[in-house]
Amino acid sequence: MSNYLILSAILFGIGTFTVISRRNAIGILLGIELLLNAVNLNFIAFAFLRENSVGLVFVLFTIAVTVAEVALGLAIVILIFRLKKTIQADEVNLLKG
Amino acid sequence: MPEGTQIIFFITAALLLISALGVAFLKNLFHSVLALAAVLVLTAVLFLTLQAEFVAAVQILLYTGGVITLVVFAIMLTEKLIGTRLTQTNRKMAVAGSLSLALVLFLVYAIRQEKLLDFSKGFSFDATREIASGFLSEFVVPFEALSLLLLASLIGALVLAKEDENE
Repeated sequence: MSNYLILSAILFGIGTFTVISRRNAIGILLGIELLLNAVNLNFIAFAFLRENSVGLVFVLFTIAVTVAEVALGLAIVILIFRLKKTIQADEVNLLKG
Repeated sequence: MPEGTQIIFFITAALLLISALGVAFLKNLFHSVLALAAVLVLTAVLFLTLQAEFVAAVQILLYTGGVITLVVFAIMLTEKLIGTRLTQTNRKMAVAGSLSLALVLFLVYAIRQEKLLDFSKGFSFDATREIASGFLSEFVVPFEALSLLLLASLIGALVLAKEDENE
């Protein structure tokens, strides 16, 4: 059991690393996918441990919300690309006065 | 937990970590996306070892089918048009590495503290049936809210990504 939790923790760490170190906005989205995946693994492991189906239901909600998030995020990325001709996250500073 | 499942778990976990490192470190963003697809499929295999067949199927259909396709489209729309490959990582590698390493060490320490994490024998009920009745009884309001969210994000993505007609 704790094997699953440790694997999920390591995946979460790699995801955090990806989110912080990538410059490309799409790369950051990939990191967020990794994070959510690690969390889903944890939910399923605990659902199995507690013999409770609520964890499974929650994972399905998470997956659906993630799909919506990715669709909107990529739409925003494409919009920014059209405006600024770049998707490097540190070159997008429209809000900076 | 049966012996065979243990072996499957360790093989899958090793492949999963390699693919996840690929997502983090590969230079070409397209290769990163392929590594992410591998991560998602391998996670579905882990879901199968935890007797969550329906969630594994949804994971493959929605994540690997939907999300990966979307991301590949976005990469083709943005990166190829520039032509030149820009550096994918910023100079905060050391900060990011130490921060996430500290996070992992803390989490592993916390998990190790907990002694009573022993595996049950598995679900004593049909998990898919439980999910279905959960969606239609206890979680029916969030379920409907979710459909509204999906509709809103569909329209929102369309409006955001649409070409401006006035140009």
